[in-house]
Amino acid sequence: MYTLFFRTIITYILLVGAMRFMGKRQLGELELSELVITMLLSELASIPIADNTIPLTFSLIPIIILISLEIIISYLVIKSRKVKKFIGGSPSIIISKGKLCKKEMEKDRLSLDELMSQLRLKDISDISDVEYAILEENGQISVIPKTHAKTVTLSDLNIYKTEKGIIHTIIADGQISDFNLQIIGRNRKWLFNQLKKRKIRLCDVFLFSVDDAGNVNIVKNGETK
Amino acid sequence: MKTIIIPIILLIAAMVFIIWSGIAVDNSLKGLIEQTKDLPDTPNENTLKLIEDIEKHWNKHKELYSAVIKFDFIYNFSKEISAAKAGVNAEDTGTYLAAKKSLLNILEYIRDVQKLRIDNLI
Repeated sequence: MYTLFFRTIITYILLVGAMRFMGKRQLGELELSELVITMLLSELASIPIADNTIPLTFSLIPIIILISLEIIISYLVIKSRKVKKFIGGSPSIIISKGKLCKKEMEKDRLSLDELMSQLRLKDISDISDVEYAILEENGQISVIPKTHAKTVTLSDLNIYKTEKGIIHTIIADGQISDFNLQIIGRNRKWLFNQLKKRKIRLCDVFLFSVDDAGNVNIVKNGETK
Repeated sequence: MKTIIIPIILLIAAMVFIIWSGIAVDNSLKGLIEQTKDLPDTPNENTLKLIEDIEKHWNKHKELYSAVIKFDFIYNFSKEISAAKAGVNAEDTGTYLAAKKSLLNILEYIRDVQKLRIDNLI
């Protein structure tokens, strides 16, 4: 039984390492080659765990080969448009200048119902409101609505607000993040001064965040449920 | 460029391992098959020592075999070695000869599979 125990640990470490090695892209939307690799990896990893008469190398070596190939192909895809087109395909324009391209839909085996469903998911109920609809390589549909159907933005209304940027979490659950303090160009002294100014003890802070404009937001432990 | 150096090295390493292990197993088994073939058809006072030599040779390369062949063959080989020894000790020529034949079959099968692997690769 100990064989099974160690095999499972080794396979787990190898798989997690492999996914990390393959990069962050793998964790999000899968492209065709990534989907194939992911399916193959899961299948290969389970073989020596399920059957302990099979040497571990029967799964480790193919996994290493697949990961290596995936990284090499990803590199080539970035470097060459031809390889990218060959491996991942190219986007198809389903609606162009407000007109449906039936040929492209047939080529991609996309039914009108599926297209309508995707448009509804993008809050578009009328196909005539769409200027462009593009079927991306990962199967998602990008929609560019016609000008009259676009959402009004602050700039359309001539309202200008200062950028808040991203929120940096400085204290989470009482733990100070020196890394985030460094990012906003502050130090612990500044942080303790902020807390002192507000008469709050560090142990009472559940969340302390700062945006790029310097606005501080504090959630105290008592304010959480 | 740096990104693809590691995968290329890994690919080459995997290929080298496959070829090296195949050749190493093939060479090791060649000697073992000869030793097994040299076992006499009628057991005598030297037979037990010869079987033990085969067992020693097998155990010496067991890790290598474990990396490239299914464990069933390793268990079966050990089982047949025990059967051959038992046959010699009990002066049971039938059991001994059957075990000798099985040992040869197992070794030749493993060697054929390894040879096939290398032939298909290159």
